Amino acid sequence: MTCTDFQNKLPDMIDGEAAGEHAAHLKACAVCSDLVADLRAISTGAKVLCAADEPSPRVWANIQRALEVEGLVRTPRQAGGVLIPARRHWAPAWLVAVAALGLVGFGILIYQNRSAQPIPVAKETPAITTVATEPAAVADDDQQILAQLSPAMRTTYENNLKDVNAFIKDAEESLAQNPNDEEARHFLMDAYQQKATVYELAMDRTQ
Amino acid sequence: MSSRQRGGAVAVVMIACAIAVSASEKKEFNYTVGPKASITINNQFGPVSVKPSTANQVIVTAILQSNKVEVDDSKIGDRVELKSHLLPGASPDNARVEYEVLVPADASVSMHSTNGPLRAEQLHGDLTLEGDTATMEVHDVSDSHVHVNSLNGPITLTNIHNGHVEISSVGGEVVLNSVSGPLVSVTSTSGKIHYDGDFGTGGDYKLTSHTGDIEAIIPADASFDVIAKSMRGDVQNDFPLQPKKHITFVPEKGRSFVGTAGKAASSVLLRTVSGKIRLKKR
Repeated sequence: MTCTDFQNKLPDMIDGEAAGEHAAHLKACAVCSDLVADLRAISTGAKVLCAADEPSPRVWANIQRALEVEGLVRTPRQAGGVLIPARRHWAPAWLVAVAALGLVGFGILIYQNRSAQPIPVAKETPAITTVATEPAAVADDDQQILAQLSPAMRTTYENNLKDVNAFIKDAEESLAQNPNDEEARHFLMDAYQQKATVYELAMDRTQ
Repeated sequence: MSSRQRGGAVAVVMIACAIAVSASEKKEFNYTVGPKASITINNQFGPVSVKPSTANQVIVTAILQSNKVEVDDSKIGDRVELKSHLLPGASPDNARVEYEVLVPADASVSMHSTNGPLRAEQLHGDLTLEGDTATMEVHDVSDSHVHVNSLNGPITLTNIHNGHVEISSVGGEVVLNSVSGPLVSVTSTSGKIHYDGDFGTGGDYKLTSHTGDIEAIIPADASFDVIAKSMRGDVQNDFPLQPKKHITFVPEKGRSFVGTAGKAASSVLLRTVSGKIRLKKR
């Protein structure tokens, strides 16, 4: 069997298994086996991309939950909520952009809220709860962003997000311990801005 | 290896080089623009270098590595956009484009590249540089807003005067040589920040990091007010500072210091979570 014969049957083999003389050729020919492997990887990747096309409702739910914990928005009465419209017609890129803006906005709101109304340490439970519950939500949002990047870029961004999340965690813990510390507030703002920078750069790469 | 074999090897290398050169393609674009034009260059892979042109011309030379990439260009009014357009089969190696761009000195320039390097010099319009691992260099720029966003690329700014400078870098080292202006702000997560200059004559300087060290080397006649704080790292001051009359916090030895030099023309804030801070006299 020649490579041309084999490749004429290629579409049938991407999602299935080769049989008979096709299987023998696949085993013997490095060029055709590489080709099949590449096409299968692209096929798998395309499925993942379809799933990742739009941020999951959890992204919106996480942002909303965090805002509710901070007392910055009330629980919505209608289905879908303030941040989860019942029907969305926006393009996926816009949704991710809005998620990033939400992140920055959330940081600013935390900053302004705490800046305007310093709370005694003994009453800091909501803020500590936020710190404790946020990593899972943050991880979800990060995964949404990372899923849209090419595999070659994903590792770089993943490492950078880890560093920035550690910065945010440190700043949050510091602010929880010293709610009246102006520097701790500035650190938190700076950390959120760093994360916004990473999100912005990631979004540029996906356009 | 005999001389005959060596000759053969050289010939093979030369043929390979000739094939590589012939695969690349050079393109030139020329535009006439008005004052304060806006130029954007989006290059996924490869360098971008921007220098001033002699007239109101934007002259672009792009060397395309292969036919897996093409350059899309557009001009609407005084806004010029160039974009490397990746075609099927493109990779970081074969989709590389090298841009040499000449722009009017007062043009606003925005440039993006994943791996760069990005370079801008002798301009006085606003500059924006963005990249992932790209090395970024800006020098001999005045009266400009300079915005730099980077993940891990090293950033060097030299001879920036009357600048409004904002740098955000996650892991790349940031080096500022003779950088002054109303605002100089650097935020880094893990990258080091190095400032060598005099803090100008009336600006706001904020250097912030999470784990990266911060070092500032200052001439003896500099005039500034400084607050330096590291929450978990060490601070070291080799500069003869005068105590401040009014302070908003009590410095903790080894963790923070405050003071004044000269007439306190500029305000300097150095702060880090766990990096080290060092203020040195030049």
